[in-house]
Amino acid sequence: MAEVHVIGQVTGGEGFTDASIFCKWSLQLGGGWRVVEGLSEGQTQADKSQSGEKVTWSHPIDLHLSTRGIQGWPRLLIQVYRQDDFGRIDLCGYGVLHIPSRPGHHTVTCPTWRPTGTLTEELRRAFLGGGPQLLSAEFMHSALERYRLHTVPSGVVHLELGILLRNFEKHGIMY
Amino acid sequence: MLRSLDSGSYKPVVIQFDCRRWFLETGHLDRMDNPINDKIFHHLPSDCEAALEPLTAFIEPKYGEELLTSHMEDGGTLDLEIKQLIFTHHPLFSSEHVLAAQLKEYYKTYTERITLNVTKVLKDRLLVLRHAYAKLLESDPRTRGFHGSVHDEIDVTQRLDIYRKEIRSCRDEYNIEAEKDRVLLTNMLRVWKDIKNLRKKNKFSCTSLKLIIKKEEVEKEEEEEERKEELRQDTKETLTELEAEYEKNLEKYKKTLATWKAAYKKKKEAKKRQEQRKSLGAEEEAEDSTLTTAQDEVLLAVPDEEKPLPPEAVDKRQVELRILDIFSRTRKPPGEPNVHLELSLNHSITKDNHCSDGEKRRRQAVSKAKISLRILINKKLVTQTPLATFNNDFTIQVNQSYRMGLSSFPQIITLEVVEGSGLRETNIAAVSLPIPSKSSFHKEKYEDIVFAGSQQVTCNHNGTGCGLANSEYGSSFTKGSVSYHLNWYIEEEAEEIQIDTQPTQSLSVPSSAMKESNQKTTVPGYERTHIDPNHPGNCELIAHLQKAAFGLVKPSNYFEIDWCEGDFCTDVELDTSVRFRVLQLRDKEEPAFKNLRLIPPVESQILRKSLEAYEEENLTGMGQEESATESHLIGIDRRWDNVERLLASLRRHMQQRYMQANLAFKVEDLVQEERIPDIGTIGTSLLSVFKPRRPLRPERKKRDQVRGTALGDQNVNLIVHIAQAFHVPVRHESSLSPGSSSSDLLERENHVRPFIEATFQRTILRTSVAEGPNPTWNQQLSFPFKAPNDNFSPASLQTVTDNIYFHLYDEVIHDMLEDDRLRESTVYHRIEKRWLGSLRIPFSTIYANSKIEGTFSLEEPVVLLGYVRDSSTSGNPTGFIQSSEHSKTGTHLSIYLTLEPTLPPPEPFKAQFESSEPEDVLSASKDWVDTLDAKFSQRHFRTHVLDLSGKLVSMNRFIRPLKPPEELISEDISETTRRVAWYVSLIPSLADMTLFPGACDIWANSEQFLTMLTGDEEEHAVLLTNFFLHLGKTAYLLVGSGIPEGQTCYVLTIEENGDQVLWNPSTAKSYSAQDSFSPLHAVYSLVNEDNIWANTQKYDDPPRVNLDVSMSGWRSFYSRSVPDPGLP
Repeated sequence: MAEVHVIGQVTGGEGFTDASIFCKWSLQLGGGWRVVEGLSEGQTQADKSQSGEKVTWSHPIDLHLSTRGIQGWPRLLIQVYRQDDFGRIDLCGYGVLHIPSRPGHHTVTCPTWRPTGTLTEELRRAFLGGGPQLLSAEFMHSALERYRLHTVPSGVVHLELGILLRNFEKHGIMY
Repeated sequence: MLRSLDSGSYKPVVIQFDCRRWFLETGHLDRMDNPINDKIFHHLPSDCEAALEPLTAFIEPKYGEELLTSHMEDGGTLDLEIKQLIFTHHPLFSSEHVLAAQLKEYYKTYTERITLNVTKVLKDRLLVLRHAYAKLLESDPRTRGFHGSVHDEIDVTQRLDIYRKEIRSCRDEYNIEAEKDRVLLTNMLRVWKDIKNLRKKNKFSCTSLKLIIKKEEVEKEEEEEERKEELRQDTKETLTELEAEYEKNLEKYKKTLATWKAAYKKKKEAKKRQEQRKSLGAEEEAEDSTLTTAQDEVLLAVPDEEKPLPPEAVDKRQVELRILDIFSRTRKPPGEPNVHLELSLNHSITKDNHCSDGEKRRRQAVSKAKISLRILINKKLVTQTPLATFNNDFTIQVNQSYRMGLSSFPQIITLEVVEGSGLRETNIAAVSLPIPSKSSFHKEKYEDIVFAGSQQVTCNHNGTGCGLANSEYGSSFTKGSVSYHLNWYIEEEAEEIQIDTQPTQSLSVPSSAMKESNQKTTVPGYERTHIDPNHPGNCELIAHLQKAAFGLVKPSNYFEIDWCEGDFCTDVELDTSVRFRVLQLRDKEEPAFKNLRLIPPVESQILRKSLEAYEEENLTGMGQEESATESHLIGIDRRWDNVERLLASLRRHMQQRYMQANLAFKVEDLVQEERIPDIGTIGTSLLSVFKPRRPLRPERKKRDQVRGTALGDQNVNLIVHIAQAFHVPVRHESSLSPGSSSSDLLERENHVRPFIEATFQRTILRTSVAEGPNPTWNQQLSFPFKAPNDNFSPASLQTVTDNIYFHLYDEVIHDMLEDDRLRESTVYHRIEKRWLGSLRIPFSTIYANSKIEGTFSLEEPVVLLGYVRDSSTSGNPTGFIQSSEHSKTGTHLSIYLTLEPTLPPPEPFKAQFESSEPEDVLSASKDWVDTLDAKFSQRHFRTHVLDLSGKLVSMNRFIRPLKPPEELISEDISETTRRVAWYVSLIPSLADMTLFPGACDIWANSEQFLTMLTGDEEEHAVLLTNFFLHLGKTAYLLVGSGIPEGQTCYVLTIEENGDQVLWNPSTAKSYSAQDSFSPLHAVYSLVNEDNIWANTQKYDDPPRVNLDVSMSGWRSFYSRSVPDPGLP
């Protein structure tokens, strides 16, 4: 019965298009994990970068998890969307990030990707918006299905996470 | 299959990692010379992949603010469509049915085989291979006498070898398939013959099956030729293969023979030596070397090996015979016509009256049998299909679809086939459906699932029964198949953007559940139904079963290391941990745990009691609790206990109802934005410079409201501005003792020295002392406001039940100095405060109105000893308060209260409420209110209010004559009126907001009010009106605005002499409608039993309002066009 605190923030992103970008994140846990306190998903505000490609969200993450074992270590599923000038929303990237398993402060980056479509779809995406999206968020992290996807890299999401572990050393987990 | 890629595949790498075999002696990596293959590979989708749905879909850009979807429900909605139920065996089957079912089964496989056409494919492949082999053989350099390079030669031999192997395996496969075809064909023909015989024997038929055999004549000679050629080729191939094998074996034999011979020879020599030694005797024993003796012994100990047998030479005759045998089994004899089978259902069934008795009874039984399907989720009955009878061929068309909303993810979905109804129903069979994963989008594809029962049934008619081991036709158990379509219902919007972030807990369930259900259903079925293991359609199932047999089944649609390796504790321990439970409950903001500050880090230090109490409360229903506690509480205690409980349950109910509305934030809650000045605001601000200045009459500036989190770090103060008091009683001349007249020098001129002491949240502040009966303080007191748990959210502020108290005292100074000589140097006073009256204002009123300004009458003791009201001195500083009779009745205090910074009052609840009132009345009410609001924006009009169940109810429904308690009724009607008003005022008052945080203004009817024993003004007023109506008075419920309550309800009675009296139901005080000092200062509407009237007069302050509703200044709601619908 160990506990993990994840305290940090989704600092921002870079390398996306220069529309308003926002990020949805959600926590994905294995079977032996429970969320004790805190929100396990969130959506940042839409930030339009003034200069360059960097957007800033500074969206707080504060989670308290309890676990039965180290299997199914939590992951963050990240989805980045852009909001164009008409207020329409479409996808910019998917990313999966393992929560660091070493206690302390971590600055982590999560590269993202998005599925590509056919040439017509890409052209439509470029001029009219929209684009191919995963039919289910499950495909983001399922090892079995990913091989069928054709993707292109998208930008990078930066996170700062502070990890506190409790009772792990009691069960012989060294870090 | 993809699924077979489980954990086993990466293990060997780890095991072999240790050694150096990865490297050559030179130290380089042991790898192929050139890993880059210049052959072009195309990633061909294999068969199973082609059927997979695409993972992505093109999504149009979407306008959306609410992209963040909350996952309130874990379950979702399941759509189950049941198409039909087909029995392949049933006790009511006649023998013909059994055969027909068999035939159908065969026919199904037959058609499947025809469409797949494996035999043909294999045959063609064999042809091609043979052709290629022959070609290669031709081009073989050796046969052509041309010597190419050594490499070429090796290559060709290798390729020939490969071809040979392939041809062999292909031929074998072809033979197997062809044999299957033959067997199937003969089986079908046999069964069909049986059916025909049976029909002939019985002289009736009870199935409509008919097998149509189409024959296609063929050229006998041609076929014979073909067959011969084939036979020749096969024989040749087999012979060469066998010969090659024979040669290999011969080689082997020679080798083994040689070794055997050598061994035999050695042994013989050893034996000879031993015998020699024995014959020589023991004398020479020592001389002979012991070594050879030992060796010989060892040699001799080895048992004699059998002499290896030479391999059998290839017997050409026998091989030919064998191939002929195979041919007779797998190929049709030459000249036999090609047969095409077709199953049709147009055979006429013999009418009942032409059948035998047994068959008649069987048919009767069939027509009586009623079958239905039950759908169970997690072993709980969800629904049952309507009862249906069999068709003649024992199929049931159900064609029903069911949509099931689930609160949690289903563990197991079971279909039960039930026969009969009521008491005589029997459960024939049950089958579990695999639960589809939420991400699958199979559209309109029916799946079949096989079920099988296990009862034994015998019939006394022609029915075959089932499960009877020794009968010809009834040996099989009841079985059949259901075709159904099960998928998750996905809303249209949800389909467009699949942002599905369910935690894996729920993800893991489908797979494990599927595993479970698959095993459960198919394993017993497998044993009985004899699934064809070679059938391509079954390969998945068979593989699954094999895995299941070895215990290898694993939910494999997500990555998972060993389930229980290295676990710290079990799931149960994790879920029952008290500390985590308490933390989770605090996070969920359960009322009992919401405000816990520190939860100890160690399990043992946590107070289990509150958690246990909470859990108990959740478990046991309200009714049980009541009966449990009734035993040890008596009288009023018990009553209050019940009231508490009732309130708690109501509160919970309300909270659940309004929770969602509270969650919705507005932009103003999050962003505080300064208004950008535009032309209008700039203009007015410029104009204000030229306004006449009135420094003596300052105006209050409007302040910005502070919302949300900005409040957290600010100190909130309650500002009380005490302006003045009127008509304070003055000390009676006679009360001043004559003896002390000399010492009261200080107060000779002023008969009273009043000051105000205010108390709020344990803070006591006071004003300075003013002089005279009409004192003016103009003093500001500031109280620090402490919110519960420093939580300044509206929800928590609403629960504040603190009051602010104002006490008016007279400060009397007694001079204690006895000696007049010391007067110059010493002051010795005793200060005494004498209570003259007080005022109480609840915080909730201040909070709801954000400021309170007005003149309030003070509650004062019934008799003020030593004080009199001096009418001569009550000179009115403000002109408009006339010194009438009423002004003499009490002391009044002018105050102004507000919160600094202003806390936002809870938003009025704007959601649409359901109502049992007719739709047209509601819309008429909306129009009525809208038109009135447009005209009189200051007044608030309503026709429908929320009752305790959260429904909109017309206000006049609350008003009905109600008999007051017997004890209150006396002879004198005015006495009774006073007593009733007093009785009502004794019921404690609590603002709705405090009572039901989050939901504003809920009206309870009189019965509920008397049960709850708390309520605010409207409940009091409703009750009082009801009592008055019973006493025969003309009484109205008056909705208006008063101080300090803000919006409030009064009762208006019209006495017999025409006097209009206003009653404040919470204080039991009555005022004449003409009284300008009454706390009511606006009249909005009047309500009685039949109608609601809105005040459309110019003024709304009571003295100037004509309170006669028949006059023109009132607009009624129910009229001829909108009649009162009466009770629904």
